[in-house]
Amino acid sequence: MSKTLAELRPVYVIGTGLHRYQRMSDTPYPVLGLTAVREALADAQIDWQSVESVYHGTALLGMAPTRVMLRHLGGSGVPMTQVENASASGSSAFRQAVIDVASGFMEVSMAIGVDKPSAVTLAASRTGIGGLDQGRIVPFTHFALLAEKYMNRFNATPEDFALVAVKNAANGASNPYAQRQKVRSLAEVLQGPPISGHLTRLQCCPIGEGGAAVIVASEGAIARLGVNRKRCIRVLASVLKTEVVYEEASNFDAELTRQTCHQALDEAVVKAKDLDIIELHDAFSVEEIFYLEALGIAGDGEAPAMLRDKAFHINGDVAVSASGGLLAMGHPIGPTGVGQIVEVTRQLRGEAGVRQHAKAKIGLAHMVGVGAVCAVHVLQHD
Amino acid sequence: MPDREDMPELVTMDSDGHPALLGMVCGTCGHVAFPEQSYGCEKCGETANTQPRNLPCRGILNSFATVNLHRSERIAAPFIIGEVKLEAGPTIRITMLESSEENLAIGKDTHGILLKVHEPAGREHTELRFTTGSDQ
Repeated sequence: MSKTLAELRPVYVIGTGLHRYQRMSDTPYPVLGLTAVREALADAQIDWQSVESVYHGTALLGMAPTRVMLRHLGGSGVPMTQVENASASGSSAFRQAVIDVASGFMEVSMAIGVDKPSAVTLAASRTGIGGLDQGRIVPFTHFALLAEKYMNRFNATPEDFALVAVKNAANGASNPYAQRQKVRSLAEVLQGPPISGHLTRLQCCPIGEGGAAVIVASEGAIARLGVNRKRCIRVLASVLKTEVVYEEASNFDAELTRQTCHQALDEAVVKAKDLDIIELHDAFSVEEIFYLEALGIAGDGEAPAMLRDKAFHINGDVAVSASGGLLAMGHPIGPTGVGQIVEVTRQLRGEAGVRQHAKAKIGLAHMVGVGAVCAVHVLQHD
Repeated sequence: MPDREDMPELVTMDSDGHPALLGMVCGTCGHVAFPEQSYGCEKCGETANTQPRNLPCRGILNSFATVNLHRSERIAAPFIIGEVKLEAGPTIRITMLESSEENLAIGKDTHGILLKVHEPAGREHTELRFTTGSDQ
């Protein structure tokens, strides 16, 4: 019989590290990854030799990038596996690390995300099944179409979506790891170059490069390695699901999000209203509105009014994308899902600095990826 | 009526002279899908009991968006993409004939037409577009 994470042995995040997300540069990818990994090892106060497995979320680097990067930590023979799941690659890598420890396979595992932009071909274009769009419909148009429908159904306005970008830009402006670190006004967001439908440039996430690393461990390893128990964050649930045929065919990401989040919350025995921190896949501003409603944080059509009331701001009802989210922190693909765990962990530890959401105890990280896939993790500070 | 060789991929002509999409229906679960494929029904997995079905290019405009930017040099922006709920069941996304949103509205009837497109090299090809106009 299959088991949930709650039925296996407890898993804790014990270390986190980041390399700033940034525009594509000449920085070799090992620099991005090694910076994040060394920061995570220092954060956990353990050495590289204590790590027993590594999962590397990457979609853009090409074949076998991990060992040629991590060999510079010194050879340990540790098993390393690349995990590709589109935008959810990093989240999926984290899930594998969690499973390693929860199952008893390993005592200490590491999830990393490292990527640099490159031209890749989606496998869907090689299935032999044609399509009508002739390459004209890219993700921002998919979400522009959904935004138009939402506005029509709920009398929402372009300003409602733009306010997501305003909030997340403000969060990113005080995050030293964010790609976009500039406060933006509503007028700036709305007046930016129009991309598709009502989406302007600042309502579309930047695809850059970066690195993120998270170390997870068992209670036994925490005691053996002398890790500070007060800084360990429990992983309550890990759920990964894929799209099926839905009645409402076009907003499949939201329906997939609803199902995945509800399963994760059920497994964690947590209600949506109990969440203090949420890191969402806000690649486009409208997604934050869709997913908060799918998650049950807001009723259908109610998220814009709650956003205007600052319910989703840091120190509001629940801090949503306190890191700046994909819109401001950036979306380097492989690192993104791992970076969400970094932010949730730092918030739950009370170590998020000027972005700290007061009394944060429970957090959720959510990513969707082309395919479509959805990964959700729930974390708690004991 | 265009020759078959002149038709866009995935499109045929119905007996009434209007374009239709080459779709399929699953004989096991009844799921109607576009485009037709032989790999299996994506709802129930049936492989043997599926049949091709022509899906008339008629439906309701679910949504639309003007695309102002496209990274590909071969795709000239702006253009309008529509989401259409076909009368036959599936929802498709397709380029609209209209170059302005002025006459577009969610909920409007829409239908497909075949359009001759002139390429820079002097060649021309046929594309399927949808429109809310009344030229059917």
